[in-house]
Amino acid sequence: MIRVFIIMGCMIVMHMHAMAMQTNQIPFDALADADIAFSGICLSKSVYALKKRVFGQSVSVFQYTFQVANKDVLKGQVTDTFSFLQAGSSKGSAQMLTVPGMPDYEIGTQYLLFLSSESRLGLRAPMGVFQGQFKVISDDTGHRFISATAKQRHMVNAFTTQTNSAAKHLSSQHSNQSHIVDFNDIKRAFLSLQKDEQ
Amino acid sequence: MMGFLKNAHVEVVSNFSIFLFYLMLILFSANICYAGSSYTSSDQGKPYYWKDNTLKWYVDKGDLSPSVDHDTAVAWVNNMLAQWREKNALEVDHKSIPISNIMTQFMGTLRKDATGNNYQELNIASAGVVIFDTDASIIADLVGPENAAKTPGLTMLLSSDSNDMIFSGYTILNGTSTYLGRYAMARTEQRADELFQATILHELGHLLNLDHAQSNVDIVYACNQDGNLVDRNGLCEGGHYIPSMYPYLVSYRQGQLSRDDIVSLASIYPTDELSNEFCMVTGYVSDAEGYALKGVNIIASRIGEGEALMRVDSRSYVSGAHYPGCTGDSRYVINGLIPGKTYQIYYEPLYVSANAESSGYGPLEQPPVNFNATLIMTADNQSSIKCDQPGTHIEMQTAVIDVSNPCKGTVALLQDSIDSTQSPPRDMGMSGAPGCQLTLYP
Repeated sequence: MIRVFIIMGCMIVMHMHAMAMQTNQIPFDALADADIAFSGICLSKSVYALKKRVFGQSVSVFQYTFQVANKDVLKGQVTDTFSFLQAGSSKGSAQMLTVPGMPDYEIGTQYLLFLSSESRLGLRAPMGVFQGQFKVISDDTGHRFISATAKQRHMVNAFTTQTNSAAKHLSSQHSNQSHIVDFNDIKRAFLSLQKDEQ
Repeated sequence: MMGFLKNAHVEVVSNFSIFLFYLMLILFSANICYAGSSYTSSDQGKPYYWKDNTLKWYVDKGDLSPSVDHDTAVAWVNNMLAQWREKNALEVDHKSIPISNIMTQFMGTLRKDATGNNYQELNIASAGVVIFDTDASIIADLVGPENAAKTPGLTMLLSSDSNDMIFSGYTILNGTSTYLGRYAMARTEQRADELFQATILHELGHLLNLDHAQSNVDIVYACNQDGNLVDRNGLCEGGHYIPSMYPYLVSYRQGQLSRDDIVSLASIYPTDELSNEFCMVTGYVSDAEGYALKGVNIIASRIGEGEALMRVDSRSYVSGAHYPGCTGDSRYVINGLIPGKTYQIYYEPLYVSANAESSGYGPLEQPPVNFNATLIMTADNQSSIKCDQPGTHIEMQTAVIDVSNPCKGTVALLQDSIDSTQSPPRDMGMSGAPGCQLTLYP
């Protein structure tokens, strides 16, 4: 009996870290492989205990819920309130399955997401781990742009809205490493990829 | 259990006082752990490490891929482990002085091939396991099926705050990444092999508890200028200056350890010579309001002897990495500075971590951005340092950066958060701390 409790104690104070290696950069075209793609506002984030074990350990992941307008579904079956499970990055409780490089989502913020299909553990992740996640921002008129990070810039270099004055203004308000691109340009390019596939 | 090992030699702790100890931990501890700068660290501000400075390791049964058989893959792992073990010295006056001390012990081959169907139950205590994920099904479970092909390798560590030790670790190597053409820059089979060996070196660094590192990052961007990892004639000029522990595979030359990698490992598994024969620089980083600013990359580079030596003799450390997340202070500790040589210390942002993207570096998921690389001055306002006596400890001025603090509201004023008792690198006397052993077979 004592052994059983000792083992439980050990299990509970363990921490599981996953460290992704050099995730390969993906080109914009690779987003076409996403299982689902949508733009939505993050409504909630909660900890979810996976039913399956990972290397003998019980682990938790994050469950994110997004509010998605029908017009912003670019691919796949996405409901207006859509939830998915994803490994954490570095925040979370003990036993959190973490993969540094996985993005986090701020509640109330809009994102454009290109997500993988569900793995056997029930997890999804942005294409290229973090590369398929873009923050959506708006100018004073409500026109939407996406903010690409330095490591995503190669994906959106073909889109030239950086010269747009509104985009420049937004760029100055955001990270100096970010690259601002018209949301509609990205959407059109992605939908075009889908047509090409068909 | 699935019977991956024939003879598991695992101790079961049967001391009732230890049972009570763990029960207390269950009841009262809030164990939250994060990746560190050069390593993951415990809530007590110590890096996790393998007991007795020895990585005991098992290897998976079966081939890595149809093109890389078992023996070849094991040879690659052995060669890369040998680098971590043996490339452990710095040259001082034509004398090679070891600064790290990590040993490895091969424990054997798993009895069963670990696959996507059985890895959930694979549970081996007090050792690392190198898994050949031939069809990438294990990696697919963790990062999503469509991402599996883009993730050459992945390492998971289990650690315990109760003794700062690594309990077990799993390095998963993606067999589907070994094919020619998986890497955009692999023009030949040999180059594809070298790129994959660089992946193994990186993952084994994680298995030893190194985190990602950033130095000579301007070369990374130069090599990526055309945006698809392809470089000049298949070569990334200066690629050998990029740390093996940089988060991305930029060059096959990352298959050789850099100074940054070697010094980072020494911070976890130091020799006495590291502190006795070399110099150490420490300091703090704060925001404009005086609050501890964690997540800033600090670089020490040799100057005055040409660009090549400046790049070779560089090492990095992320401020506040001793403590996870927004806890603790913003101290940085840079080891292995060679006496008689001149260095500049400067700070820079972690460049892969702009806005919502997660950095892949510890200790913060989203470190501060929007500031430029800037020199850090010495206490007497000098822009460079030079220590004449081995064992010298140089404390720099606190670097004040006027930038949004990701830990605002949770981190203490720097002057209140400084822990004067900490003495990095890790205290070697800790190795005798009680372990937490799990049984493989009930």
